[in-house]
Amino acid sequence: MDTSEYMPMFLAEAQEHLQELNLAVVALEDDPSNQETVDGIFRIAHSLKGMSATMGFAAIAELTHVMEDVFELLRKRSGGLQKDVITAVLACLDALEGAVESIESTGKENLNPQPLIDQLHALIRERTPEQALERAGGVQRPDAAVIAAVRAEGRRILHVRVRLDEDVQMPAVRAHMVLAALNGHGETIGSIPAPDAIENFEGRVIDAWIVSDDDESLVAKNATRVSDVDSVEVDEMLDEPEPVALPDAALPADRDEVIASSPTAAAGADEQAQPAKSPTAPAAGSGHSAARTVRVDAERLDTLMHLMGELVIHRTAVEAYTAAIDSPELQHAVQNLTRSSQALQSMVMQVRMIPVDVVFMRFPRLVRDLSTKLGKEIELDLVGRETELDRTVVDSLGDPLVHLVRNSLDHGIEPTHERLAAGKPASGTLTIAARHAGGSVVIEVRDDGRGVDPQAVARKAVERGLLDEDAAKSLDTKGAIELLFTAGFSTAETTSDISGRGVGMDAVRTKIRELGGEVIMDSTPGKGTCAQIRLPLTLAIVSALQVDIAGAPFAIPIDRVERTLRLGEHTVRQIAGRRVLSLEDGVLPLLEGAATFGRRTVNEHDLVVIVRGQDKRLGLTVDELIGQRELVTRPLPPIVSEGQAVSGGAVLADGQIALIVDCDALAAGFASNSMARSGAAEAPEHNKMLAVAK
Amino acid sequence: MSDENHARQLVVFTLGAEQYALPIEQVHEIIRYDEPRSVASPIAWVRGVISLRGRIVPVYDLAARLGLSSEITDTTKIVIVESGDETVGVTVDEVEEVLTVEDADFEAVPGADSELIESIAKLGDRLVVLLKPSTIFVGAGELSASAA
Repeated sequence: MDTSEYMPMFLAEAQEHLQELNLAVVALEDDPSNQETVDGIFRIAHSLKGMSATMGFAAIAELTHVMEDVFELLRKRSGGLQKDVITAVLACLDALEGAVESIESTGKENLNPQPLIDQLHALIRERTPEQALERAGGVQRPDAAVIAAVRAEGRRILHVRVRLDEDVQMPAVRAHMVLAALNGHGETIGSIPAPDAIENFEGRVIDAWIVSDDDESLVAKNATRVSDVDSVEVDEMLDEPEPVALPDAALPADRDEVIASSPTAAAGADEQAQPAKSPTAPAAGSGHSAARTVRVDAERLDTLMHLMGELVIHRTAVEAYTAAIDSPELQHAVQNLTRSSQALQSMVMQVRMIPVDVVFMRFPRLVRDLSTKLGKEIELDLVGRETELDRTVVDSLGDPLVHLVRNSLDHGIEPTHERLAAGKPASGTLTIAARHAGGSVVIEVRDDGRGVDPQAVARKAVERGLLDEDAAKSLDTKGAIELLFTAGFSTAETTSDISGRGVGMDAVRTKIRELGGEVIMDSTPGKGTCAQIRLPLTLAIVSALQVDIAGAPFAIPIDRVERTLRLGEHTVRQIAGRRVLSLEDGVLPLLEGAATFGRRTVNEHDLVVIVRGQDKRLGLTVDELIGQRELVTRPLPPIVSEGQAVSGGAVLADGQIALIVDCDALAAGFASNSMARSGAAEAPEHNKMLAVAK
Repeated sequence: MSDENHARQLVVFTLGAEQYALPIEQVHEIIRYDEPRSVASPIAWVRGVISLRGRIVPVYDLAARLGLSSEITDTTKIVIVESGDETVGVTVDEVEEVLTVEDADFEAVPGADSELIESIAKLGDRLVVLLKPSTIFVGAGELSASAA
């Protein structure tokens, strides 16, 4: 069967399944008793197995099959999963992810499942001495008739579960002592191990059913007195679950251990609400809402957006021409056209929006792995997961966020002993929060760690030759943060394999700026650090102030425009050869629009637009304010945009091209002393400098 | 069949007094000249950008690229050249014709700038210089390296 046609869908779904599995497994670690999560894992593993088998990927199918078996067992077992089980399962997920990636790039799964399968099998065997015992006939369950007789007398049956320490030396002896202690409270009507099989007992869990009117806490107290007992649970046995009524001896002797019904599960009162399900009938679609969504190739959405953009351009042209024609019918028709096309536009925009959770999903796993590796206790708090963002933005957001999270875990949050010494809670908190703010999305990565230490940063900066000794002495937090964003800086005391991967905060800033956003970092020593990423909701359409600079149209993103003013009404001074604008609320650098953008003519420059870039404000002289426009942005050919303070272009209604002003690059250019001089002849040089500053 | 395999179709145009050509497969269209939206480029032969059905396409001054001089006249055209994902426009003085040239008529370039010129077609007393489209698409990265 030729399955190549289904390959993209297989890859997309497999990746999605794996991501969900990762999330579910980590969630299970936090809340091991959550049956819904276990069922979810089982369901995902099951569909992954089916998909990969259909596509002919035998290794994936085999591994997922064994994983499915493991989860089948796990969901029957109470008490949750041991950490090593979780670690092993996560290792399997990593291997599967690797295989899927390999399929994507080479078409081959490139996976040797055997070591992982062995590991999984070993886990199951290790964890089931009770089962081995059961097969050896060492189980004595309370007889249904006995139970009925006891109940008829109005007496109650207590179920006692005793866990021994993992490293107990002589479990058989301890089991004997436990049963002896329980006998003091009443008649034992059943136990695992059975009294006559105790000497072969090698497990860690002892179950007993006693007829007793003693208080549960008293029973527990006496059982706990036995050495090597880790925990004791005592509760009244309520209804007897059906499976126990069937004698276990009826099971075929050679039945696979893995799916053998676990004695603990069958008897525990807390599990009666969750009857064991057969592996061939996974929970059918409980709370699963996949049916009403359609998977669409992202490229088609991009094309749709592109066409939408053209429609907007044409519509604006039609509107302009219609205004000149005196025809009420035509005006009316155009108004309708405008309304429909605006509705269409907002719908297209909505279709492209996906929740930021798509990026957030990877963090529970990442934080778990890193905190384990670093030996730190860290709680992850994800806020605003449903916040929606344009797909293109979401796609590019992953790497910068991962870097910020790694930074926080590695450098921000202190080891437990340090935290306790500082009077903080033992476990650190990392918050990743997303929210909408006007036309932007704000994503914060916040930790309650040690904050940025200006002195440590200063030392490192001097070592790296980024700062001289004198400047280092007076470095404040703000300056230190600015240094963190400098290329070639890393605060890691030793280069760890976590954040010392050769990409620094400068890479984060570069990436976010490419997306038309900003990164701001704020830190209080001893209290924590907060990195804030501010991004436009969408990259495809930008709301901008159209201006004229020396006869050519430019567009300044509206969220960067603070206000506009007339030059004549304010004081312009020269400071160190640069023009600055003195306003009531501060002194700003003043850039000449024509010179900045290499225009040859110089005009009156009566108007100034105050823009924000890189946390700074500056004034840009323009010749005319045209108005606010919704512009469909288009990438500029690299050869014309390189080294210029423009981030893209937009085709205007009349076919002219407006260049979109990159306010961050403007601010950076000013900082690098390259903008002071004016004149077209200087253009090539300052352009190059700008490229460096970007 | 064999004849076609050994012949090439060229779009022939003039720059100053000389005749140049580009392979027809890479010529997407020819449009009349409108002043491109100028951009402050460090590269002298970048004339600016134009909008081509919603896309923003750079326009290069081909004469300046080849070290010639030319002026914008009524006959000036922009030849839209495509290669892979890239589209650029180049200015030419006048588009002449589409020529089919046998392989045998091409000659190696005697010591000329072989970076931009692929070969020369000798057709009677006419000399048509066949340009290498790949070098017209020289990437911005390479450019800044050579400009630095």
